[in-house]
Amino acid sequence: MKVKFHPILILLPSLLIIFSVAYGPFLLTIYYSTLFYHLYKPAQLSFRGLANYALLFTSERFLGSIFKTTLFTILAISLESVLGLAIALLFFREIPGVRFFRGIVVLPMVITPVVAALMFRLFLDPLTGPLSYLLSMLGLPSPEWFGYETALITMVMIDAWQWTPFFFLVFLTGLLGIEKSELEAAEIDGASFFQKLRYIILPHLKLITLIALTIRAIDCFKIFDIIFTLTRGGPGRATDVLSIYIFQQTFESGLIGVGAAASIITFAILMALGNALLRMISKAGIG
Amino acid sequence: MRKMGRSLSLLLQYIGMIVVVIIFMAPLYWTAITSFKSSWEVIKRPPSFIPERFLIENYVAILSNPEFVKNLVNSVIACSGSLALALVTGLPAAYVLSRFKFKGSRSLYYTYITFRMLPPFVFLIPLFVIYRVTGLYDTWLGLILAYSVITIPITVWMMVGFYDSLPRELEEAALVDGCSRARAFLHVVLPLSAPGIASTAMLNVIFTWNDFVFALVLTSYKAATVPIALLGFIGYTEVKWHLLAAATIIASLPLLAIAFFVQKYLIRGLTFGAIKG
Repeated sequence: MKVKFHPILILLPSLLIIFSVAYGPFLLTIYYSTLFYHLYKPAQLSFRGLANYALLFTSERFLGSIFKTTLFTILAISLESVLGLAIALLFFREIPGVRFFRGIVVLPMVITPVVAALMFRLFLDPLTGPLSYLLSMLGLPSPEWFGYETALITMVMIDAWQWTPFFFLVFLTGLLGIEKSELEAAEIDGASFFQKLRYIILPHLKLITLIALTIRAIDCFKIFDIIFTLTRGGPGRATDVLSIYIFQQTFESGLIGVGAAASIITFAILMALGNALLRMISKAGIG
Repeated sequence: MRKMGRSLSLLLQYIGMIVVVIIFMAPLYWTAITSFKSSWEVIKRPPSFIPERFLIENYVAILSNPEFVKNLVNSVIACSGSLALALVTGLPAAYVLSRFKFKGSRSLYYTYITFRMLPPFVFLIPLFVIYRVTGLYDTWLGLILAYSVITIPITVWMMVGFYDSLPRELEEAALVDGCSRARAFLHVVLPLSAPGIASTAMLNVIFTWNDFVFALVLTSYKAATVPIALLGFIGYTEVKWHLLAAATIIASLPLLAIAFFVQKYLIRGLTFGAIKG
């Protein structure tokens, strides 16, 4: 007689790890967000209710960092998706060597973000980098890449270098999934390139585009590594995005309660995006 | 006429592709050549776009620096440890999620996916406090446990997709022959999953090797990983460009090697299997 056991038992070890390292601490963060809790003076712990949240929603710096994060996200995913589609269309037709070119364009995606940031630090350096030299050859001034007005745009550029290939691959996958006969039939009917794009290609790519945009939006909202590497939120507060704000409040100023409340707010924003994503994934009939 | 138009469009496509490749490879190329330059050639104007001499001194200097080697070892241990943990716990879990539909199995599956949407600080803040109290702070074990929150979900959603595409008949034959479910999994399913496991493993390595924020919060010195070490090359007074370049190339080599193999699976891994590459 075989002992019957519930299949959930097999899931337990992995669930246990995830709950103890992520979901459990997450509940603690909710608790922390209601406290005055100082990293370096833990004895002064006291309950503050929703005071941390009230403080955040009236803090110009916090609201500013929500704005900067949103701006960064919108700029990055628009740029990346448009460029990604253009590159996918360019690399779509099967010609000799195309696979090799595709393979190369994908590489930035696997590079460590910190490394990508440092590569751009080298590349954009006004004194030793190649770009300022090439611009000066053309008689153009070299922009101040990490200035107050430009730093956030530079971050968008670095992010786009890494993640345009993601949209490229997503769109390429989608394009390769379109029946060739459908495109050929349209061609025989005399459809122009833009008509094919408008009536066959784009409708076909709609769902995967939404999924890809949402996934990238979630990641952009968490942007931390390249900004921490290059400007740490500066100059001034020019690149003070949410993750930088949370990190500095928690680990530099030691205000765990405030940092926890700010990360719960970030979580709420991401959950709204995430729910939309899960709905799309189940609509795609997978997962 | 039509033939000429065709070769013209072919030529334009090649030119376009080459321009795109140059733009995307430029920072990588510049870093690679900088890593072979001497410290004075790096600051020379006009800059040389091909090194005058290919020096390996920078690589020798980096790899004979015991601090950096320690960081490399830490990265390798954290990556492989969390990968092992994810395979041991995640492969059976993925198999069960693929083969058994029970009450709540779908929401359990989403439990694994949802994790990727959490902003890391939402659990890293208490984890930092807990690690300080329990002594897991700045240790390999602490980092491995934390990284398994990255690797277990990837393993589960990649492998659920893989097992879904594996015909059930294979194990059912074994089950009819009186094999237990566990034996069928170990002796029939697992050997067939080798390609899926290989790509899952490589995706895991990419994600953990690239991590910065976990290591920044949960380590300080003893268990610090490569990305943390790289930040140290940007000093307040001067930047040692040639050494920084060599170190970033060393940090990227394993990833670039892997990238060629997992290209097909990158999209699946990054989109929770929603888009199959």
